[in-house]
Amino acid sequence: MRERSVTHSAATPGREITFQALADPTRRAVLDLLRRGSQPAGQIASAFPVSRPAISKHLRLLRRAHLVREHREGRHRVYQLNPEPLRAVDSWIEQYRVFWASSLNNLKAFVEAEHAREREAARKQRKKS
Amino acid sequence: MSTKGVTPEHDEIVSEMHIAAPPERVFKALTDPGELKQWFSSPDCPVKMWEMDPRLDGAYRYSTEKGSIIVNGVSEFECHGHITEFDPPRVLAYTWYANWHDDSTRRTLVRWELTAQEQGTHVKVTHSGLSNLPIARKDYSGGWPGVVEMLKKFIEQ
Repeated sequence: MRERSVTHSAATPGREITFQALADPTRRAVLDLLRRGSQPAGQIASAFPVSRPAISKHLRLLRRAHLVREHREGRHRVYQLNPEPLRAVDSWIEQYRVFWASSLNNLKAFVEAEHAREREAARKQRKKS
Repeated sequence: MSTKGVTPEHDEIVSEMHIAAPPERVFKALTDPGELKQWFSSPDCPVKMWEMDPRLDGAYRYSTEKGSIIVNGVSEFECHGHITEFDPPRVLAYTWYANWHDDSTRRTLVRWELTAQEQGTHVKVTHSGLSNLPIARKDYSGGWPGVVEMLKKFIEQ
């Protein structure tokens, strides 16, 4: 089943596979590690408390999501960060940045206007009584 | 007003603002459907309906008319969830499932925190889970096979 997933992964929409790759804390930590520069697989594995095969699988998924590139240097497989797919994620999240910023502006305008109106009404009420 | 952007986990955004009214007043605006309908609306995205049952586990839902904004091919927006934290007038949190997400079954979480301040309220809203998937989170503790299951699900849908 795993191999079948590998063969068909090209059909997965680009952004979904990026999100999926980012959804795991270990994989995010691997990306953070590679921000400091390319590293051989063995060195990446030694930076984490999980098994070597587990790291290999994480790297494979990151590679499938095009978040890392792999090349050989002698006997080593060296991994390099490719941040390009993160742009799609960032543009998606950007929508929410705008959304909440504008929602908070609306909330502020609404609540402050209502609050001022209610205070005014209460003040008039007190005057009357 | 400050919007801090994405945390190191690429997973949440935080927006903060000062409002010149007490927390109780702000909390009412966050939980009263009639008020939500008014301030959640914008000319680009007019709100058609806002429902909320303001209590722990209470459900909410809102939808908009067709506006001028299109996200992921969607122009009539619908979002729903249920309340996961209800502590008036300090905290309100709810799940946020939106039809304009790539995957509308993706669980994201919106959390409002209100802090009384001189002259009003400090409002902080955190939207998290933006790069997250529930199956992935569950699988993290259970190991790899479930992640493959998830991948399979994506591929076959």
